[in-house]
Amino acid sequence: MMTMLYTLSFSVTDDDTRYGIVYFVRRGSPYLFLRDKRKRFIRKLDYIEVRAFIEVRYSREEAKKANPIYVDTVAMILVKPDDIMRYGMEHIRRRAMEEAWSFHRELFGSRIVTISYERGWEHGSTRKGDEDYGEVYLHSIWARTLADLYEGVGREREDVRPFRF
Amino acid sequence: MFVHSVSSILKVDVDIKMDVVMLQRWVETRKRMLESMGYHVVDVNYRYTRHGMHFWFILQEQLDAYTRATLQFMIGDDHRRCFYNFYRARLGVFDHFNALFGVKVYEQV
Repeated sequence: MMTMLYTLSFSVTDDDTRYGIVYFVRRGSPYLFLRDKRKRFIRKLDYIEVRAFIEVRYSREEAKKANPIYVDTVAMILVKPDDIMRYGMEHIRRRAMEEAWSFHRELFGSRIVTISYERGWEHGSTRKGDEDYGEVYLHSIWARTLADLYEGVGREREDVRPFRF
Repeated sequence: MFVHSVSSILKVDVDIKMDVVMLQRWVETRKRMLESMGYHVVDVNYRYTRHGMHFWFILQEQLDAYTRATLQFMIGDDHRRCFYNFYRARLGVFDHFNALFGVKVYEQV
């Protein structure tokens, strides 16, 4: 079990509003605050939501040859200030992405997985998923053809599972 | 309690880095477009990215996903992104996947 304590303060963008999410430790206790663009504290956050995204990307040649499938997978976890202090943001992001990969591999075969890529992470002050603290919310959507996309008849799978850092 | 609801925020991805003058004009024209359609812009936030800029238009009104996808398209969101956003809105998963990444992975395919 990881026991390293991270005490550095840092800020990330709230990707839901573009305000700032500030993390700092004061008198041994970690805090998360939402700060506006004038750097005024708006409110204390009990948690933030970290979202990791995976998508399928075709090279131009492959896209011309095959009928490209569209796939998006996301994993969302709730993170408390204590978690950031204990595990560090980098570890938290990595764990969220691991959960997304694990779900992605369950749903798709090796041919799709090998052309899947990590798109990035969002940090949000709002909660979009259906998870509670200690759970990961997983959601994947996919469509086989462009016609499916236009008709909105793609398929989706979502799940909520227990989660540990 | 949240300051702004997700349903009142438009996220726009622009693949051009603007200077101050162009940025002011661009934001002003977007505001006027939205106001001409009857919406009230409360705040506009932006950040520079590696390839362009991200914008957040915070509206007074709470809107459904398809309306937000349409408005994002109208005010100049990346067209490829809009194409998928319309699809996501139809599937009812717009909010989950309408993302502007704080930390992005850049990989060459």
